[in-house]
Amino acid sequence: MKKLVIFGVVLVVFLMGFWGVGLVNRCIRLNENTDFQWSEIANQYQRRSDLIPNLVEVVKGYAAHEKNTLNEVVEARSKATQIQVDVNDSQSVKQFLAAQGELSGALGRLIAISENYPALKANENFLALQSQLEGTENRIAVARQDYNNAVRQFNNHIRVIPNRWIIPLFTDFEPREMLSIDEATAKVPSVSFQ
Amino acid sequence: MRRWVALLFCLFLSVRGWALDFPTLTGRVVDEARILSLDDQGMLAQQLATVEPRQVVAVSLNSLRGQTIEQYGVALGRHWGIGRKDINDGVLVIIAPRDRSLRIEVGYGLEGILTDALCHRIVQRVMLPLAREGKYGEALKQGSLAVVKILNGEPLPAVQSKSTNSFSFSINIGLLIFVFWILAVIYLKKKTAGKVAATKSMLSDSETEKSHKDRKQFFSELIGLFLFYCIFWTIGIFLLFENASFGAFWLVFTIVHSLFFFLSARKAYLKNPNFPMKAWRKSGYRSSRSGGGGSFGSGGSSFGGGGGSFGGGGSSGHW
Repeated sequence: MKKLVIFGVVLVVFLMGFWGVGLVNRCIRLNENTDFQWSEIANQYQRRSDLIPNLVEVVKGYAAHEKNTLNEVVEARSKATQIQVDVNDSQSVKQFLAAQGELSGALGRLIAISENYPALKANENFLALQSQLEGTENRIAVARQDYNNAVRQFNNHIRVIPNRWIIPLFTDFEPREMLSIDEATAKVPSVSFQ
Repeated sequence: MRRWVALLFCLFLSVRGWALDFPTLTGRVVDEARILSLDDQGMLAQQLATVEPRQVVAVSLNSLRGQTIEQYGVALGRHWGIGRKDINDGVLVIIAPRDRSLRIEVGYGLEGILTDALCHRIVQRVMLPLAREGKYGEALKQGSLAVVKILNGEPLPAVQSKSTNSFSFSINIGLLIFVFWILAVIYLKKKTAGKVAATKSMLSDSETEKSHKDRKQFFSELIGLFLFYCIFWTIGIFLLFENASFGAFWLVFTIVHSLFFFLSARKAYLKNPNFPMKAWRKSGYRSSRSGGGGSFGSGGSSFGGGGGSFGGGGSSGHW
């Protein structure tokens, strides 16, 4: 009987060890997933930045005297692309998102003035670029939502009750911040195709 | 107890209410808004089938459930799992007449072929003019056909080898089971050989020798069972790494089960040393084949085959 008890205790300790490893592994996976989702956001913002020079060129051809707006876009783009962003540094993330938000605003104004130029609006190239821009904005929105979902999963995992005591023993993961919706969706250039 | 059930039920309800609601994927044409004739549906489904193994689904929706068509399109595509797993080559052509919106939703893998600009052209030139005239069915049909035309004009994206995580995981488990099985067979072969030798040498059949033989056999069977349970335990340990709570449940369940089993065997053995030979065989725990080796071997091999079933849960397209 005594042997059995010892066996049982050893077994339980063993099991708890494996259980802990499982918890921590899942935590690491979720963290990696969050990083991956963030890279998707950065990726899509990069894609948008890459579209802008062409767009500016095309608009220049038809509306060269809208210098202010065009310059604004170019400046906002160079500012946004200069920022080195590190997901784990919430300050740099904030800066990055703020710069991208500014760029979104400038782009919105650029698209808005293009409404005044029927010849520009009929340009095949401009239409293609505009549709790509629209698609990219949509992808950014999806990527942000996915990122927030990943963060929510990760935070849930490290915050629920047994986990919040066990995980700190092995790792130093902190809960991560979600992206707020406002600065992105509020300034998405509203593109209408009529 | 009743309170718990009620609480669980509420949880269930809240989860149900929280999730978006999606139409069922009934085929390549999902005509929830009923804007296509049966003939058109058949024709369209046939055309959409020509782009296999990529998947194009034409959808008409009654409503967007309060979302924008961009949000709902992505959610619907993911919910249905259109396109091959890891290649993500699915396309949804969606029209929601009551919300006056339509969309071509392209999976990651096809974004290079069905570019935004191309989709935009299809939407602007093919679909929207028809939709504005109220010919929603025609808009959906022509839009889908245009997508099919573009897809068929392009070479297929390269098919990647399907060495996903879950696959190698199942191989590991299969291997482990196989190793255990081999071990068990070797062990039992030895055991039966020993038994034959023992019966030969002990033709003088005295009581003590008989009980000695029985005890040997009893422990051999216990060890065999232990190996058998090891299979379940290893599965449990692997599950722990994949999914902590389910793995823990599995492990605890199998361990408690085996403990009860071993304890009851021990009790029965203490009561009657002849127990293993006579009672176990009758009790139905073992198959009717004679000899420890045979019956355990059959148990092992029939389970070993089951290791492959983990690999089955792969691609997520449903037709």
